[in-house]
Amino acid sequence: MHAVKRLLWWLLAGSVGGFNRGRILEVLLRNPSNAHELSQVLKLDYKTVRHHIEVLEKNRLITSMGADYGKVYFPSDLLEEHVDYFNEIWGKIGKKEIRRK
Amino acid sequence: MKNSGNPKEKMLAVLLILLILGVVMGAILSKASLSYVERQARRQGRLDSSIARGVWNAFVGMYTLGTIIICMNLMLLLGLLGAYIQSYRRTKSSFLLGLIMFLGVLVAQSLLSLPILHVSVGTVLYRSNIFTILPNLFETIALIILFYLSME
Repeated sequence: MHAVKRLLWWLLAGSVGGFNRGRILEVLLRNPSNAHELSQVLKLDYKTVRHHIEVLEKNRLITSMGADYGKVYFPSDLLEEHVDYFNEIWGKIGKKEIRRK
Repeated sequence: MKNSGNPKEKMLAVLLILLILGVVMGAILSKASLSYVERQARRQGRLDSSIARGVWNAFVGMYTLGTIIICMNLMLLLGLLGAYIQSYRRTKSSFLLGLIMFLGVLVAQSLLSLPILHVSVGTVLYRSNIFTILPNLFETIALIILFYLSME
């Protein structure tokens, strides 16, 4: 298994907050946003969004520009390069989650 | 807004609760089983000499510590299993099924390491030195790391 694919499996399916991380990546791939916008769009608590952003940034899947509250988050080059893996995994687990809701 | 609260604080709280539950469960299990083992040993006159009593005291310490550590591991494993089974039911991902099997094997390994099992097949088989419990202690550290990563 490719290293990035393995990382995505772990971050999206292997750990507890995976589903919300997938939703955050899905939004950022369409439209770079700041934490406040993400919490509004996804109807998630601001602290939860900040936590997931921290995990995604730490794992080099997203990158940011700006400072403090206005910081805008983008998909990283690593994620853009391997977006097919994201779509494949998210297609498998994300749709099932959404159907369930 | 749903999912309020800091996820990191929640994770640490769950981790602490699981570890405390493990300590309590281990203490109760070792106390209950030790009183039975002691009765048996006294009846057979194996605790009559002062040397035997010294060995018994060392045995009690390691037995209790060993049981507590393994119970902590079991609680961590059950917590992880619960989280993964929940995720598997939502996603049906084979990746998670693999993780569930991995944890299931570790649960079996922990159950088989419980001192009560060793003692039930012969007291002498459970050695009373630090090297008996050291591997389990390292397993606890490994499980705390896995728990942290899984709950992140």
